[in-house]
Amino acid sequence: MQEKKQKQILLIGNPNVGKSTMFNVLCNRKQKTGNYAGVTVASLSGKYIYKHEEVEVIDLPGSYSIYPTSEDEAIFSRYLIQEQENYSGVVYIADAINMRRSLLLFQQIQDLGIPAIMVVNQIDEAEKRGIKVNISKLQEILNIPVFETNAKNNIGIETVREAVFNNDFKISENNSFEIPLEQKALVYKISSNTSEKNLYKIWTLLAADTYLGKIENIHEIITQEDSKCSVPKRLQIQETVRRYQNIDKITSEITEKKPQLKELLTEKLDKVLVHKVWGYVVFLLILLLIFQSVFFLAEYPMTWIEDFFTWLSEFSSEHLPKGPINSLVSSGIIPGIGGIMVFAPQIGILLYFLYLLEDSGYMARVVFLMDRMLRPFGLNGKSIVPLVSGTACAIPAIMSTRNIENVKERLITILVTPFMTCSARLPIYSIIIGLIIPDDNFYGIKYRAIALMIMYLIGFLMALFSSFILKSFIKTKIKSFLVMDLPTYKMPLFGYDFKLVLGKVWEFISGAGKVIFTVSIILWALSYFGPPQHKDEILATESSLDHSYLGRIGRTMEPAIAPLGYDWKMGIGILTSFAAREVFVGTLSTLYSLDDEAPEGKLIEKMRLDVKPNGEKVFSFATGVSILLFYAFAMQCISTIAVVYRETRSLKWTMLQTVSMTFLAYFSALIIYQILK
Amino acid sequence: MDNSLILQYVIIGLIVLTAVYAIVRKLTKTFSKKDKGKNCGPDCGCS
Repeated sequence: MQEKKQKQILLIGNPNVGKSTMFNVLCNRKQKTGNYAGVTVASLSGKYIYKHEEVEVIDLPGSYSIYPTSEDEAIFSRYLIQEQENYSGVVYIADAINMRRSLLLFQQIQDLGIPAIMVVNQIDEAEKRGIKVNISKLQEILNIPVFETNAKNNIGIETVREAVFNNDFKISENNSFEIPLEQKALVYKISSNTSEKNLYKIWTLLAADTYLGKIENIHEIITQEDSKCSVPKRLQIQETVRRYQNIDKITSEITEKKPQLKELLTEKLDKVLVHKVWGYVVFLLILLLIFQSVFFLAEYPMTWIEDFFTWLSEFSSEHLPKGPINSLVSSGIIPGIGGIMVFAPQIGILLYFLYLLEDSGYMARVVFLMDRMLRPFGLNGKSIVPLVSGTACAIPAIMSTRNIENVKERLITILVTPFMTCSARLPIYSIIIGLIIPDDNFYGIKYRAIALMIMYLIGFLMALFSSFILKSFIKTKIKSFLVMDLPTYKMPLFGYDFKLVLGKVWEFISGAGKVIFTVSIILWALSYFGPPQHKDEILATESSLDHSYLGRIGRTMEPAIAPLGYDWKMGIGILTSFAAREVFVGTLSTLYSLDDEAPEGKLIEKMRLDVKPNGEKVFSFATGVSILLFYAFAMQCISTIAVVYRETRSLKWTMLQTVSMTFLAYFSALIIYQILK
Repeated sequence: MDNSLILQYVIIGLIVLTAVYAIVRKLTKTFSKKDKGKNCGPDCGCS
């Protein structure tokens, strides 16, 4: 009787590549499988006997990388590295449909010095999609045994069993990932002080948030100076980008793909949409169409919202008992909140179009177009994504600069991103453009839409100009590159995007609403009360706006803003809009509502009819352009300042950015007013 | 001054104080150093 031997192997790969199906076929088990990622969330084991050899198969949860981002991925990483002595090798399941993604994790496993064989699964699905993987070429490049399988139909399973029986697992001799120059010295230092000679294993220690390996006395070896700039997430990204550069070469050699209808269409569309001239023309036309819609489609809902808040204000004024609470609610809070809420449709429409563009695959082309255009200005590759997302809000845009490995390039991107026109500027632009630009058309295109587009372009051009200037102060030798797939075009999910927009609009309403609510209360208090008029008074109540505390504060700051063409109400608006830009409109709405001398009607009408003591219009063309330029350049958002500080950890750069943007805003507004008045 | 008006001024005073407190709290929260030390470097920012 022959002796029965025992062996342990691991089944690993990306999620949803058929590992569980392979496990079931190999071990004749019925583990749950599914057509989505994450079916296996804990390791499972099964056994099979082949040629009198018992093989224990451990099915690990799927993972995209050895760096865990979730608990199931942590199970995977821990088992793979810490139990290496207990298993003979890994059977790596690659997805024939997505070899590119599969090769990333595979390369990491190879570099860890883990013996492996590769199984390319789902060949039937790949063939259906016109994808052909050249297995012999792949075997030659990776220098390990590679097999083709279709686990669902039990094809190729015997060859896998035979390879396991023959111990065909192979350790790679060459590392596919070169340790970056900046961390090389540290990695060598750790290696020379420990028994660990696999440099990539040491690298994973620096790049992982959790302790993957088992290196003794690591904290004594690494000093604080050593770990400076070894931000784990950034090192992981650096590794991923470098690996993909190499993987892209491999995939182009091993895969052939017959283009399908969608891809042929994408190819044809891209001839125009990413063309070096027409690409930009089409982009500008799309922008114009969006801005046209912002004004055109939002007209009715804006009127309804404004009418509702006017009615609510009148209703509360009539029904609440006379006194300060009546005044606070009907002249302070309701007009303040209403003044902001009225712009929710415009913001919703703008975001909806941006989501549709993103969903369709066009936004990726915009990033590609911008990358080409921005390189001469010192912004390249990964700086583009934060700049483009800055059109929605600067805060997540600045946070997304964490993907930029180069510290100096990241700093330049953080410093210029607030110039991009965020959605909070839209209420100001919209109301001021409505005041100074006539509601006429040029061959069907509204002048107001053109003006709004010009404001977006001014912000963008200033971001470019600033980075060009900063480039000469913050010099960087190493450039980062943007590696991205241009996805095939697809029909956007209109309903889903609409739901997303509703969520975002609610975020705007609740976020801005909370701020304007508290600001309105304080503004009202400062305008309702004033310095005592009689000897026996502590303070005067029901003061006229001019004689209130607010009026006094406004008048004190008036000399500083009068050269820009602004009156004290605008000064108060600028002051409060440090909380958030859109609060400027809410503040004006509250102030005009509190002003007994202001004409009745909508806010825009009150602003249009408002005159200075000398009879001049408060909101003339010159004043309007001056405000527009001020808000285009000013760092008028305290949350953005805080995020810049958090991300740079430098008071110097945060202050420099805030002060220089404020100076730029002030002097450009001053010059334009003095020229146009 | 009748009682109703006095009560209204008391309520207004409380509301205004709450609003001021909310703004001060928001400001201190915005600039709090809650991430200090974790994955941050003086030249590299935070991850």
